Formats: sequence, C-alpha cells, structure tokens
Amino acid sequence: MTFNSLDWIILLAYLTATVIIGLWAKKYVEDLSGYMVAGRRIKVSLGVATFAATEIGIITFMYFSELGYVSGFSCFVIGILGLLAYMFVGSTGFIIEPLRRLEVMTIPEFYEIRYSRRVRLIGGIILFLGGVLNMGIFLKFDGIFLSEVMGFGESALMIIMIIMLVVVVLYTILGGMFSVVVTDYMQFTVLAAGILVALIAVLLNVDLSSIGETVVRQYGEAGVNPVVNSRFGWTFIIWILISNVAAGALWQPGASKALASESPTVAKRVFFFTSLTFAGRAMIPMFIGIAALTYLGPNESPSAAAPKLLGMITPHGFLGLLVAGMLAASMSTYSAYLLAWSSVATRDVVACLRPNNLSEKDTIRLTRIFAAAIGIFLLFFGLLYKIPDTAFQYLFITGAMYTAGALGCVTAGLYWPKANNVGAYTSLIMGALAPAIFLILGKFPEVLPDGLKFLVDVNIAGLLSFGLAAVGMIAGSYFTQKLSPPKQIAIGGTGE
Amino acid sequence: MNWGITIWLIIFAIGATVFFAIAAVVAVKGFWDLMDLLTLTGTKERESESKSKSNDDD
Repeated sequence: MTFNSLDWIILLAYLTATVIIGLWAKKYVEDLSGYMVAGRRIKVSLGVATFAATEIGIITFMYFSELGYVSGFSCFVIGILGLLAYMFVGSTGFIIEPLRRLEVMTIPEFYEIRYSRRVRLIGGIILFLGGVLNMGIFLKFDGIFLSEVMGFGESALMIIMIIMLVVVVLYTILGGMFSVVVTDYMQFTVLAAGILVALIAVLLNVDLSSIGETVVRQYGEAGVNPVVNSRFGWTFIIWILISNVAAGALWQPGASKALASESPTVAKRVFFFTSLTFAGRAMIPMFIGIAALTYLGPNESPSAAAPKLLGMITPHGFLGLLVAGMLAASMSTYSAYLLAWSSVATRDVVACLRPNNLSEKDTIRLTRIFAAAIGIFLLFFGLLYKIPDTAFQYLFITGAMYTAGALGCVTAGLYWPKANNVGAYTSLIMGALAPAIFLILGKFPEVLPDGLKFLVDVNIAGLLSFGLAAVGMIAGSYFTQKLSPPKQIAIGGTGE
Repeated sequence: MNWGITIWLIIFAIGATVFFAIAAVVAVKGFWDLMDLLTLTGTKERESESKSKSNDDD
C-alpha cells in the first residue's frame, strides 16, 4: 500500500499547521531566558507533553522495532529499565531538583558554578560533540522509515527530509523554546494518535499466538530471557540502567525541560509522570518489530521490517495519520536537540572562549547560527556514516561519551564536598575515553591484541565509561585536595 | 505460548495502556497549561512594554 491523495492531504495539513504555529510562537520570545527555557513557566502536563515528545522520534521507533525484530521479547527489559531509571530521578529529584534551584540553562553551566570556567569549556565541548554525533544518524533512519511506509524512492525521500529539516530549523531558530514547547504539545497528541493507529493495525492483522510461536522458534530461550540473550546479559542491563539515570538527569534536550519548569517540584513531577510512558514508549515499537518478524519472516532488513509491515497493513487515510504522527515525533525531537546543542555550543563553548560575556542579543543570534549549521551537518553525516551494530547501541555509546563524565562531575559536585577541578577533568576525559576507543577501534578490531578485544564490545565499553568516570572523579579529587581545594556552593535558589 | 511470553505480553499491555492514558490526560490538561503559559507571557510582555513607555514619558 502506498500514499494516496487522502494521505497527502492529512500530511500536508499537519506540516502547514506546524509551520504556522511554530512561527507564531516566536512573538512570545522576550529575552534569553524566554528563548532558551521558555521563561521557566512550564507546568506539569505541558512539561510531560514536551518531554515525552522529545523522547519519541522516528529514530526511537526504528531502533526499538529493530531490536524487537532481532531479539524477540527479551529486549522489553529496556523499557522496564527506562521506566525505573526515570522514575527514580522523578521521585527523588536526583540531580534535576538542585540544578533547577540553581537556575542554570545548560548542564555545563553548573561546572563553572561548582568547578571552573575551563571545566565548563571542556564539558561543553564533550557534550556538544557527543550530542551532535548522537543525532547524526537520525535522518538516515527517518529516511528508511518513510521510504518503506510511503513507498518512495531515495531521491523523493531526500526532498521530504530536507523540507522537514528546513521547517524544524526555521521555527527552532526563530522561536527557541517557546516554539519547541508549543509545537511539542501539538506533536505529542498527533504522535500518540499515530502510534495508536499503528498498534491497532498490527493487532488486527497479526495474531498474538503466532507472535509467541515465532519468537520461540526463531530465538528460543534468548527471545524471552534477556540474561541469556548474547546481545544483552547482565553487563548490558547494568550499563543501560546507569545510562538511563544519567541520560534522564543530564541529557541536555530532556534536562532542559526540567530546567524550564515552573519550580523544582514541578520539574520532579514532570519527570515522574513522563517516566510512566517509558515502558510503552519502548515496548510498542518493539512489539511491532516482533510482529514484523512474524508477518514477514526472518529475512528482511531488521531496521526496515517494521515500517514495511505498517506500510502493508495500514489503510489509506490512517496511513497519512501514521506518517504525520511519526513526522511529528521526529520534528519534536529535532527541535529540542537543535536548541539544546546550539545553546551548549554558544553558551558553554564560544562564550567560555571569550574574555567578555556575550550580550543576550549576540547569544540568541549565535545560537540560531549554530542551529542552522547543525541542520546542515545532519544531512551530510547521516548519508556518509556507517553505523556499527544496532542503532540502539550506537546511540547509547555516543551518549555515554558525555553522560558518563557528566554523571561523575554533577553527582559528585552536588553531593560530595571533596569533588574538585582535577576530579572533574579526569572524570570528563576518562568517561569519554572508552566510547571514543570503541567508535574508532570498532572500525579496525584486527589491530587490537586478543587481551584488549573487550574494548570493542559495545556493552563493556559502555559500562566501562561510567566506571572510569567514577574512578577518575574519586581518585582525581581525593589525591589533589591541597593542590586544588574544592569550591563549595549553596543550593538555595529561588525556584519555588 | 510459554509463561515467559505470556508475562511479557501482560507487561506490554500494561505499559501500552499507561502510555495512551497519560497521552489522553496530557492532551487535555496540557492545553490549559499551554494557554496559561501564553497568557502569562503575553501579560508580562505588555507590562514590560508599558513600563518602558512610561519611563520614556518621564
């Protein structure tokens, strides 16, 4: 089944509404805090909508459905781990509550308050590189999804992707967080409707008992038990749990939603209620991936199987709604990421390199230039880079380049009085080391001696990054207390 | 179907239901939050405009 005129009308109506609303929200930007954190006036329900929309894109659908196709039900454990990690952050206020009290706009800003301007610069560079590399593959997966669901060739797809990117870059550049929040709300409702359509179409066409039989026949015990599945195991489970706590509290696109909340209490509640969507966010696309395995057999491309299934079984009209929903999901993710990484590049890298502070006007102008530059980069990187293993692991390992060191720096900075500059440098650098080694040497595993082959195991590299960052912070700070006396800060704030 | 699959399907059903329930609640309540945000921002904008106008008059 391919797109017909009804599907096109639905899709074009949605895209037009997004452009108009996104540009209209620009008029609410009054100053820098309005541009970057929507004036810190976001309440719980709107916070949940914008946070959940940021966390769900076509890329999320693609990597989770890919995992469902290649591993059966055992990957469902990832949804449980996400739920537990975000619920922990939301119920305890771990990291996000004190950061919101300090009224920072980006995570590296905290490094300057607690450590030094130079730590902020290094933290900002690592966050920017990890974040943009992480985002680099989004367009490629969006392209695969759209080509399978809509039934177009690659040339038409490039045009659709460029139009989508231009629309997102345009309203993000002009309206900042206001446009992001307003469009996120609309996009969250459209994406939830799109996901519901997809799930109903699958449940009507693929029966549950065949799904169960296919998983057992194809994967045996490994299709049900994540501990015995060679892709996962305990190393993976521990890594993903820690990684989710770190990403929940410190991944700039998501954390910015806590920093934009009305108060620290609202920030906690936003995280708690969003965490409840995390099991479904992972398991629904995984289930569709497993259904694709059942319906299409095991010889399809794992990343293309789920969208292919949806393209085949979704009726016209609903197909337009599904694609609009998925594009909505992607646009909300792109806009939040573009704003997050361009803010970090401006405030935590360029501004830190200058002797004088940037004016508010210059900061907004430079942020807009970076957002446009990142948009152009995405187009080229997505086409050229070959992704190692599954997309899920690529995203978590590039994310670990930043989150591992950041978890060490921010946790110790907030909760351990002995944390100092040396510990912060060591933590940031050692946290980025294992993922960087994996990404580079993973291309040439033959150069490694047998004893070091474990470095190109994605699960070990991921877990190692958090271990090294923690050791770096503790040892670096502990042995250099006299050389670099720790700075103490009061986290009172005026947040409430 | 074996027990492992049945348990995962039950967990999946709960996860999906909670996801759509929260989406429905947020769609309704989020609209009012959005209106509040825009109204409040619009009011503050007007206040700061009139303040700067009265400063100019002085």
